[in-house]
Amino acid sequence: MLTSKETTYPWEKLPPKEDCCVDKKLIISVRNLTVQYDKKVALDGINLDINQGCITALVGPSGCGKSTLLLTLNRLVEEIPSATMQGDIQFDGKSVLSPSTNIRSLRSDIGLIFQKPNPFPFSIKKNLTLTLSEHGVKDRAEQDIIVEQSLRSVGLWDEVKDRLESSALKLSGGQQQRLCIARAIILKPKILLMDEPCSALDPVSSGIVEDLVSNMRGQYTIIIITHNLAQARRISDDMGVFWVKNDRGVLIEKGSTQDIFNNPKSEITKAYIGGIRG
Amino acid sequence: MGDKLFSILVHLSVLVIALVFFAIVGDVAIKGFTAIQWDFIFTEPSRSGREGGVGPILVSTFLLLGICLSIVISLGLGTAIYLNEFTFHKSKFSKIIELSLDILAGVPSIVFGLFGNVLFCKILGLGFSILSGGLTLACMALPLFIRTAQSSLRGIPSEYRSGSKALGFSKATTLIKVTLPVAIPGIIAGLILSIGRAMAETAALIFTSGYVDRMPSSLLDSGRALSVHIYDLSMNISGGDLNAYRSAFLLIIGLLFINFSASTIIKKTLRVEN
Repeated sequence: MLTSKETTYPWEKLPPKEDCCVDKKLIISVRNLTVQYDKKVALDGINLDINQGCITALVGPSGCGKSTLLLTLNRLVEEIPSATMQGDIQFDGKSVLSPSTNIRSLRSDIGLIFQKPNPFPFSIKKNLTLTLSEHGVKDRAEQDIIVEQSLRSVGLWDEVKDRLESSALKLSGGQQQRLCIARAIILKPKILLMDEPCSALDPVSSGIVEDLVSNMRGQYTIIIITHNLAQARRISDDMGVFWVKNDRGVLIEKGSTQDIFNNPKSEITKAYIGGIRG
Repeated sequence: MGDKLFSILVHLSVLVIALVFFAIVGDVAIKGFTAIQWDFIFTEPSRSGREGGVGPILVSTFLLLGICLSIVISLGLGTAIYLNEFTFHKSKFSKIIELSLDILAGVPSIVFGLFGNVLFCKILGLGFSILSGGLTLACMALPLFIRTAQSSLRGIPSEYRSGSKALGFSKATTLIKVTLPVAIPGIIAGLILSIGRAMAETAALIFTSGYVDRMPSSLLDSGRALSVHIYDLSMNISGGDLNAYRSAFLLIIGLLFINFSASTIIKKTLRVEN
């Protein structure tokens, strides 16, 4: 795998992978979740537990509802007018789908990183300060400190510290994606949802972002969609395998990544991870 | 062979357009610029405009534009935002509005003039006034502005909106802090087109703001716009040609100035944003 050797990133000092995700405490539990777009059932009766501090990879072919699950976890799916949801999602002991949930604080607790990096077409700094101001941090000096911290924690500070006022769109794809991650973690989320964060990037950038994700284990609970099974195997602790059955998205297998790769229970999973199907 | 012919035709058409443009501007500039003096801008017209300046007429023109723009920007931007951000995927209602806007954008200005005359001057009792004229101009410029503002809002990648919502921003914040700033260059472009249309308008104003060439004392006073002044001098007043040229020269300078400053604003915003 490709990594940049030029800079020492602060996250490299974090404890190694094994230490962070041992006591398996539940942070999210999804029960009987069904999501429909009009008549089309995108997700059918999903039950899934997410362990705190771990990286959970969601894999499966396109159109099996993985992205829909992410969008439902922070209720962004409601922006799609035809979407309806049934079932229950518990996060930190609260019901996510309840009408009384505060969407604003839910979305700052559960950040989302998109497949295509989507920084706002403003300056690098404004991408972060705008986010801070909207969440109540308006003091300039305080903002400056948090901006530096968050850029450091995604390894971007040294690369951009001299051009914070230049446009975020001038950054490379990988830098843009790390800026988006910085923009999400600036809100101190508990969970980061990532929808194929590396797939739109070149191999070098993809490697850097993957390292970053891998090293955020323990600090954040990460749910990541990936079509790259090798990547899922490298970075994730747990896995969920999605499939399309009768035109409905279903979860066919879940468990620890090691178990699923070494000892898949379902025939489809076996064929999928063996590269025969999917 | 075909390529060469095509290239000649394309160059030829550009040449024709450029020639027409320079012929018009050149003619007006040469005849209008001669003997134009500063006091032409400030003094009142005398002898029906054959002599004197265009002071009051410029004031009326700016007042008309001011009324027109304040209505166009507020109502127009509101409608564009509604059509693009608040109606889901082409509802029937928004389709009807869009269709009516497209038809209205093609309606001849004289029809707007007669409509303004009936509604603002007579029914609402505003009489021949700068207010009636400005409101009529607004009706005329609104469809064009709404459609351009709307297409500039529509051109904004949806990733910005979803990114903003994923950060917990409300709909209003997304609109004010993200979507509108990105759309500003396109919206300004629409505004220039609308100003151009309003400043050049004659037919709609003759029926609504009238053609009194005195200095207006209030918005309910009748006032003569620059374009109406040019029309009057060249068609109705014998011996008014020279001042007609001077006024036309001023009008063109004004339009060029607006275009130039707007494109500077656009370039500046683009440089910062992109």
